Amino acid sequence: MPEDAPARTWSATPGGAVIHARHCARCGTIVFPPQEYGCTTCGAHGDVLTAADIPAHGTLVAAVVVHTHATFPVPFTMAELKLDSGHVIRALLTGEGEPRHAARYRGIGLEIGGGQRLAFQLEAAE
Amino acid sequence: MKTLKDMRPVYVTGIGAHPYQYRSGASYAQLGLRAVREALVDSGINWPDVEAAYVGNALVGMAAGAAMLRYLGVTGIPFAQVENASASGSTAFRQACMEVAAGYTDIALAMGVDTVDTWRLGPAKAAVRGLADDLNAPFTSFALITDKYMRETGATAEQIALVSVKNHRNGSHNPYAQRPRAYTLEEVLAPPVISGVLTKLQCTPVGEGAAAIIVMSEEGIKRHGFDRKRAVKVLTSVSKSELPASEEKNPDVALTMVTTELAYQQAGVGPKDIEILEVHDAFSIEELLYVEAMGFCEKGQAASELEAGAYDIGGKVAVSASGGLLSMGHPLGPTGVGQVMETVRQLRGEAGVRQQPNARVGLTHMVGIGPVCLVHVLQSMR
Repeated sequence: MPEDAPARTWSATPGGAVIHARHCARCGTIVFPPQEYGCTTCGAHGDVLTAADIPAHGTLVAAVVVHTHATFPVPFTMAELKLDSGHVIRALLTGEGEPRHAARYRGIGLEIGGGQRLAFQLEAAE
Repeated sequence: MKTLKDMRPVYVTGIGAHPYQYRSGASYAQLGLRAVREALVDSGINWPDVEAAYVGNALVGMAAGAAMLRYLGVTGIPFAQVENASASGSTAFRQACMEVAAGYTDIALAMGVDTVDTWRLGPAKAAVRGLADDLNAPFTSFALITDKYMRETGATAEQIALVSVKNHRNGSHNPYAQRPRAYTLEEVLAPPVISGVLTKLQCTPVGEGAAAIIVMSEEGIKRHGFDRKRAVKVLTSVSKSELPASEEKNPDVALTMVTTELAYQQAGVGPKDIEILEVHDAFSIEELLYVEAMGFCEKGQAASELEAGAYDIGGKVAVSASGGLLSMGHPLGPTGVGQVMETVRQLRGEAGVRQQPNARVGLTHMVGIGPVCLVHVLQSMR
């Protein structure tokens, strides 16, 4: 990975979207966002940090409609989700209807705002 | 480990500012020099009496402090420019306090100055990217936190907006405030809506301005015959950064809890002793989160306490009597210094219609990108 290029943060796979992270072999932390500088828990670096994928499944903690953005088309809905791995992330929400708190959501690849984005939708909506 | 209590006592003797304002085209030097000159007059000293200077800013750029202070007349004193995101000014103040407490100097300047400019964020250059960093602006991050808080505590959007009503009412009496106008609850809730339930008047205006503080040792006070009753003692200065994962998942709240608790221990005070509190209320929800984190009420009770007037001027603790970041503004570098300025004015009993009756002890609190958190506790000498 060139030092000036951020690592890719997610991919669509046949089994569903996954979020890319790093596993620290020294302390067991799953580090997200992915990087090779060092483990944010114990500071280990180098070969002890290996690629690890987190399934993009979780429950909705909070959601808001955003009305202001310099470049991205508004309105859009941002959410906070607690993934099954325990990680708490912020991501785009997609789908019809009001966001459902505590409901299960799943990540999908979405063409929006001029690029591919990971967005979360209600599992039942698939 | 030493704290301020174990070192030479440090006192604030001078305060000054350039009003916070929307972009005017003025140079940062024009803003900054006005603030320093006002603080020198308030302290009854001249620039050659100052022995060290710390200049907080986040946007102006390399060597800006030196290029401004030379127009007070060059004296050869040590300068340092301090950048610590939103807490840049608080950090400059801490550095000046430590300089005097340690005995390096008897009189030091701490100031903050910034003009409206492009944010060149360091973390973006580290080439580490989250899932939707570009869509998660601070106002959206705090809108999500607001949504969560409302669900967890039952607080309503109206109760949260009352933070902004109160702080603008306070700021309407502050000649240094960027938005010095009182607004009704209806006006605060009115569009434009920025993100979630956060309307424009529940988000800080980020403008330009400057604030300056002179700190002195006992020797400095004696040397210049400063009226001790107008001196305000700095009881403690605590600075912390990102903590290991804890039960409290909001990093700014977790950091505020730990930093404030340390400050209480070091200063020998508790929330019941604090009558003046300047918090980092860049978004209305923040005031509620932080007064809970600092122990002024139980978790989930801040909205109802606020509604009942507990945080008004005249209440059990006047929160953001200056108008806070919501009304006074948040020009980055100056903000933390401006909080100390307001606290000193209150502890001297010189805050006019904003005066919290019988204020003896005050606390200032800033958080910043990092995250970082700085807390100072100050005590009246009246």
